[in-house]
Amino acid sequence: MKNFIGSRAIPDLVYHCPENMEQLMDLLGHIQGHFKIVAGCTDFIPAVRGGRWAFDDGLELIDIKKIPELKYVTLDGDRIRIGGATPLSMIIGAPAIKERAPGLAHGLTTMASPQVRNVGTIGGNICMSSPAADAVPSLLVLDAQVIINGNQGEEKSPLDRFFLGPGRNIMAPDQVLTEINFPAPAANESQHFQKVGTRDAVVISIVSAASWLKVDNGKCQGVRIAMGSVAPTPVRLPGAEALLVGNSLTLDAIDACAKHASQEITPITDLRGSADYRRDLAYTLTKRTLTACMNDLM
Amino acid sequence: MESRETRLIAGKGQYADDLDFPGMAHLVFVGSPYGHAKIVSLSVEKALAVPGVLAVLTGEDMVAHTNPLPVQANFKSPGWTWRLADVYAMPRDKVRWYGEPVAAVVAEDEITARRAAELVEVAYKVLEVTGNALEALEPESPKLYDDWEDNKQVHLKFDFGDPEGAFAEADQVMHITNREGRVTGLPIEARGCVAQYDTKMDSLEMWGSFQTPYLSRHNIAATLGMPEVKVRINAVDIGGAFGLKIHAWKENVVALASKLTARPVKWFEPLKDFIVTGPHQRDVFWEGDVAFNNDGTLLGVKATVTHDLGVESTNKGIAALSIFPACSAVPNMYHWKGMHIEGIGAVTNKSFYCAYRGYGKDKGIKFIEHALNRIARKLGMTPEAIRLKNYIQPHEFPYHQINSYVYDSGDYPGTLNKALEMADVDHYRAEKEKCLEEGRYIGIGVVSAIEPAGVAVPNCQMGGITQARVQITADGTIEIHSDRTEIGQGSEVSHAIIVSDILGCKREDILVKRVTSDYIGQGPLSSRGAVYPASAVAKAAKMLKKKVVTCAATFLKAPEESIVMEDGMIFSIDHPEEKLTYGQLSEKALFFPGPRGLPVEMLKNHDHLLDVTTTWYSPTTPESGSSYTSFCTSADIAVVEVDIETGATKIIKYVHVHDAGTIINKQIVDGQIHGGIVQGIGEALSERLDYDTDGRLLTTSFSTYLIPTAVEAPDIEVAHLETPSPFTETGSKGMGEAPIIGSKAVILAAIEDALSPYDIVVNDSPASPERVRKWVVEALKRQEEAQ
Repeated sequence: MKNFIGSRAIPDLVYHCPENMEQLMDLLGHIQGHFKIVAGCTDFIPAVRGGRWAFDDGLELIDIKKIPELKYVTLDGDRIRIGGATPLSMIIGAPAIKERAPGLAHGLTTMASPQVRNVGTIGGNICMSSPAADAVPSLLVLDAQVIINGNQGEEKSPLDRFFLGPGRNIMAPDQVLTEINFPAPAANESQHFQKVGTRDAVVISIVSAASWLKVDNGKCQGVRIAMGSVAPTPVRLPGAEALLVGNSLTLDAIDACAKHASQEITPITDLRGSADYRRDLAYTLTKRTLTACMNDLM
Repeated sequence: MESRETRLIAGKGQYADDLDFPGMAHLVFVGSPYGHAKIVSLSVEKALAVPGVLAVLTGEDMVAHTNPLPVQANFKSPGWTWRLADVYAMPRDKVRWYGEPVAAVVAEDEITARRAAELVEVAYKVLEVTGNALEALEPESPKLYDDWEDNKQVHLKFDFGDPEGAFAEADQVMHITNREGRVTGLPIEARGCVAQYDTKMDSLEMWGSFQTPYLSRHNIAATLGMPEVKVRINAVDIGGAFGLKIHAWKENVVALASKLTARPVKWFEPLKDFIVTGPHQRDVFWEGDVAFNNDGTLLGVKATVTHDLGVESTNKGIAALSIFPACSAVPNMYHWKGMHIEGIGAVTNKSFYCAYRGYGKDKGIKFIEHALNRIARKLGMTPEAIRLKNYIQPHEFPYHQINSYVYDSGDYPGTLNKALEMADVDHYRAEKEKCLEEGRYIGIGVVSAIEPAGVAVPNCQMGGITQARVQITADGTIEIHSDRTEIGQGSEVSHAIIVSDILGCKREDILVKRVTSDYIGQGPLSSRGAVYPASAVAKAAKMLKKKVVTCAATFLKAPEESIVMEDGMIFSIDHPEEKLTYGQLSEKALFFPGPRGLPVEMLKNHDHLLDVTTTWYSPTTPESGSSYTSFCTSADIAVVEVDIETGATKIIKYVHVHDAGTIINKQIVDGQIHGGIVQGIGEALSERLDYDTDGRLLTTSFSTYLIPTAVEAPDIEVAHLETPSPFTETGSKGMGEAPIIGSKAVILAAIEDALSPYDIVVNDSPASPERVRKWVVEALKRQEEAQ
């Protein structure tokens, strides 16, 4: 077993900070040896210092945080598009998000601290692929799609097919998440996010949950439920969703759906919470986020 | 002169990590990845081969070049257990806790040292872990120290008053159990220092984050086997201490590294090291009975408190010592007939126990405050009613408590009544009922506490030693020396206020010198700052004032009784137009004309320098044996809302009324109150040092050891009473610990009140969301079964 060392040395790095996409693509085309792409470094540095990640000297670190083509939030027709290296605080403040996706904005404000949100990016949060990534449940229920770019060309993927396991996703090391986009919710749609941690701020969720509802004439025309920290990846809960869709929205129906959600997940017991508590919270948070959506629409 | 605050805000702070010496090397510790293991082999060759590595020290070096860590507290009394372990600053044969340093790498720079630290090769034979105090006391439990009979380090037994009589006359007895989880304090700056061994003079000087330089000098000199006179310790700017920096432990290794490499050596630890290998606190189990009458009159307590001390402290005996105040604090501020309290301390495979804000006196108070709230509920009384019924009254001071403490002064009912008024408890109680109908759970917590301050106990290094010096220099500026390091608690500004108020000099002409080991004293610990050092400084200033008056009367040719000192000027009330500045006075007294111009008597008494060094000792301790001199008072009221579905607690209102006697500086007192309350909230709700079954600490960083952020800190409404202490020079009382005691207790009490419809006993901390939810789920199950 490794010695206990309170803070491990950062290896000798070759640090690249390309100023635009052209420079990035050029770099990815020519780079030799081991490299890693980061977008803000808010996870990289603690992971290395804390010993969770280890790299040899000479690692080429490519920080895409300065690339202007990757920093935007736009309403493009009926789709909201967010650049992969857009800082969380910029998304929270963007008019398109405030007006059309306030549930996402709220979810992002529960993440980390203002300082970290100014530096940490949406693409970084997604690409870290933590089961506890707080940006992800909201994006999953908004039916988000990611665009991935690399020298092999551009690829698109639904976000719910992006994650493969804790810290793992479909991207190759030489690919960059350039955009995340989703349909801007219409007037008859609502989305809410809630999380529970051992404290309120700067905390990793014990469980996070997001719900999205589309309602016409009191009937549920569409529903999506997603959660973090209850499975190896952030997950959608199709079983629970199926209980609601097409039916009249009532508190009882929501309750039944939430109960199902708590059984559909596969939580583990860890330092942050037991599996039982997570199921319990999954029920409560599903109920609360769905009820909040319903209250917005009915 | 620039104030400390201005200097720090301007970025001119000189903290341990800012220290930079020519030729300075850097030291990094290598810790054990196991909670309990034999060191089978240890090889430093690969680490030494790294270019830039100067040396790697191990436990072998400790045994070869140092003495075992010295004893700081030692009590032998018939019927008591008190054991001390023979340990070195680093072990040679066996590690006893996760992170325990087994080697120290010294290199030209910190990064090289950190890299080489990975290459120190240690083979361990893993041993079974003793995971908590209750397990440790089992007969078959693995022993930590081979030469001990078992893992019990301490067992103290106290009889206060007449415990048997108390229980004999009681209408009722309630059984109480209470547990506090393990926590640590987190100063913004961890520990660190630079050691410079002078090989020509065979002397050692160190600079760093030392809370108690005088004690550190004694202990480091003893460990290194050096004459104490050859060692000097200097405190630099300190980013918080909370008692956690009173010991000298890793500092011994840094000093030895400097001696062996003949280089200045710097060590500055990451916060993760501080949490993993730093001082821990609390982690106690209380079990006992409280006797009372049906009208709410309190009579007696029989209880045992078991402490999980972790390994033998790096200040040997200092962990065990904290069991005294834990036992003695139980009476708090009430009348009692008698108590029998036992305090047990067991060693376990966890990091060591040391001082942290509260030290032990917090534990007894939290236990009894919890008990009072439960008794009140059982008797149908409000929490304030049972307290007001049993308080020591203002006319009873000085009050000799059954535990031999002499309470100096206070207005306990006045303090609580003011808090009740500010908190508008009647409104919130009505609100609670209303919310219940909506399925919302509001709770109102009420607690009150005294804070024993100014410790002076025998047979340890906390005996009440202190020294202060006030000197008027030749240009009229004034310097103050004491043992009270500035650890963020405002000792510099409060000493400047005390002296300027007495001498009538300008505050900006005063420099409170950084503390070094040159002045005797145990430093600021156990809230003694405003008791011992401040009294010593005030006494020195008063003595100096007499000299100034004599000199001024001579130079101004005026009667002594006519001399006035104000706003930096000295004059006779009879001739106010003829004024001397302090600079003019001092120049006359020292040089022109100098001593020959002073009264003959002054010279005959060798009393001619405007410089006084003195000491101070409690006026009550010698005869009464009271371990503390002042007892400030606090009342805390919190209103919380508990989300019973998630278990999360939200603080809606927080009121704290405080009586620290005469207030020297309100901003400082308020700052201490705010900080202490927030720390207590962290203990109540989220902070926990959790070890796994292999003895590995799991909560090692800010992402897992969850201290409150600004978001969790409530608006804190503070008010003060000022009941001067008759026993200190300034009338002020030691303060700073009551807020952490009261806030933890009151938040837990408020949660219990919120959950009263479920009859839930909140007797474990932290009351994290998961734990609260678990209590609720169990209560629902109980209710279901009962139907």
